[in-house]
Amino acid sequence: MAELLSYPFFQNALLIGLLCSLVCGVIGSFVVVKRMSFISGSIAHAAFGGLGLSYWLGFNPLLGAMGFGFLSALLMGMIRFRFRQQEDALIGALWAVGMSIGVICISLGSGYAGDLFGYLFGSILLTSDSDLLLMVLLNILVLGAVGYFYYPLVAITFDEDYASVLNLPVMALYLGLLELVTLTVIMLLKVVGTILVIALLTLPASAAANWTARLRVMMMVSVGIGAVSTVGGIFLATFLNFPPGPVIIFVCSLFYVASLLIHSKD
Amino acid sequence: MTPILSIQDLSYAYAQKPVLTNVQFEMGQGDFVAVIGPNGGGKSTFIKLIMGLIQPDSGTIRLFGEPVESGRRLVGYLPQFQNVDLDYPILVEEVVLMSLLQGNWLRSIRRKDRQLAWDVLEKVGILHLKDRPLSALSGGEKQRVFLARALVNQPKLLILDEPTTSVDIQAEQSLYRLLQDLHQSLAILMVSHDLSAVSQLVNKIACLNQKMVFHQTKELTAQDLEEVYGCPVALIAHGVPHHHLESHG
Repeated sequence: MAELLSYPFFQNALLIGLLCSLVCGVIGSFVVVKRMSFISGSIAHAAFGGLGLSYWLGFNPLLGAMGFGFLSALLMGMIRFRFRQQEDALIGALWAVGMSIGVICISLGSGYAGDLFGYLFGSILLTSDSDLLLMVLLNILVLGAVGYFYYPLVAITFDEDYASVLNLPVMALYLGLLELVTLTVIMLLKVVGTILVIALLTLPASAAANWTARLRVMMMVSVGIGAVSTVGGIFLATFLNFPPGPVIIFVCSLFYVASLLIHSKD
Repeated sequence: MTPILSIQDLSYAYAQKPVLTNVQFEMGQGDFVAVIGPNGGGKSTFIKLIMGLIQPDSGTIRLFGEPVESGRRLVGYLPQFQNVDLDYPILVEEVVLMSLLQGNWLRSIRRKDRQLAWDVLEKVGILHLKDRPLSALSGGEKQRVFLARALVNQPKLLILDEPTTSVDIQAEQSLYRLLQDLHQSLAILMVSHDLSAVSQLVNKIACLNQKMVFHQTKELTAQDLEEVYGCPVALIAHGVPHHHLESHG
C-alpha cells in the first residue's frame, strides 16, 4: 500500500478523485433536486461526440468534449424553454447523436480499442500533472460560481415560476447551471467515463437526499460519499485488478442502497 | 386614483383553444375580490397572466399603473402549491428568505435578514416551524409558509390561486380568518371554486368562464351565474352557493 502511494500516477488518481467528488457533490445535488439527470446524461453523451472528433483530428480530447458539451447544454436549455412539448424526445435525440458521432470518429482514428474503452469507462489511472492542474482550475471555477450564485440557483431550482415573478433572470441562470453541469461532466469523464457519468453525478446526491432535508448538508454528505467511493474504488480496483470507473460506481451504489434501507431526514 | 390592477380586452388561447376572451377587470385599494368559476374556466390562467408568467395574445394588464414586469414587485403571489417541488431540501425560513432576492437578485442573504422572515412567519402564526424542513409540514402549514413568502416584501396586493385546495377544513377556516386580518392593510385577489366560503369574506365577486362577469359588487344575479357556469344554479342572497338545478349540458 505504501509502495502504491509513492507512485505519482496513483497520487494523481487519488487527488483527481477527491477533486471530482467535491464538484460532483455540489453540482450533483442541484441535478438531483432539479431532476436534471436525463439532461446531464445527454450532455455527457454529446460531449462524447466532441471527444471522438478531437481524437480523430488529433487535438486535446478534453477541448473537443468541452466544446460539444457547452453547445449541447445551450441547445438543450433553449429546447427546454422554447419547445417544452418535445423536450424529452429532443434531448434523447441529442444523446444518441453525440454518441454515434463519437464512436464513428474514434473508429476513423487509430482504432485502438483501449482509447475507446477509456473514454467510455474512465481512465483515472492514466492521468498527467496537466490533468491535475486542469481539475484544480475547474474546481475553483465551478465552486466559485456556485458560491457566488448560490441563492439565485436555489431560487430557480426550488420554484422557477416564483423566481421569475421575483424578476430573476431564470433562463440565464438555468443555462449557467447547465454549463456548470457540463464542466462537472467533463471532469468526471476522466474518472468514470461517459457511460457512468450520470451515476457518479446522481448516486451520492440521491443517497444524501435520503438522509437530510437541507441542501447545504446534502451537498456536504454527497461530497463525502463521493470521496469515499472514489478513493475506496481506486484502491479496490487496483488490488482486484478491475477497471476503477465501474468499481467507483459500484461503491457509490452501495451507499445509495444503504440510504434506501436506512433513512431519516431529521 | 390609479387602480391597483386594471385589465383591458384581455384574450388568451392555448393550442388554438380560447381560454380567456375579451376580459375586462379592475380593482382598487381596499378591495377584496374573489374570482369564481368552474374548473377549466381560465381562473389560473388569469392569475398567471397577471403575474407575467404567460403573455396575453391581446389586451393590456397594468399593475399599479405599470407594466406587469415592474408592477409585480408590489404584489405578493401565492401559487397553487401543488406545482411547487415540495420534496426540495429547504427549511421554512429559507423559503421565505428567497423572496428577498426581489429587486436585487445578486444580493447575499445574511443572518440579519432572518429577522424579516421571522416577523412575517410570526404574522402568519408559524414562527415555531422556522427551522423545520418544508417537506415535513402539513398541507395547511405549507400554505402558511408560501403565504409568508408572499408577504415578506410588504406587498400592496396579495394574489392567491386556489389557496384552500389540499388543506383540511380547519386550516381553511383559519386561513380565511388570517386573510380577513391581512385585508386591513392590503388588497386581495383570490381565485376560488368555493363560493359559499368566499362570499362571507370578500367585498366583490367576479365570475370567470372564458368570459368575465364583474359588476364591482358581490351581488350576482341568477342570470350572471347561468351565463358563467352554463347551467341554471340556485342563488341565495349573500350565500351564493353553487347548487345545480339541472345537470350540466
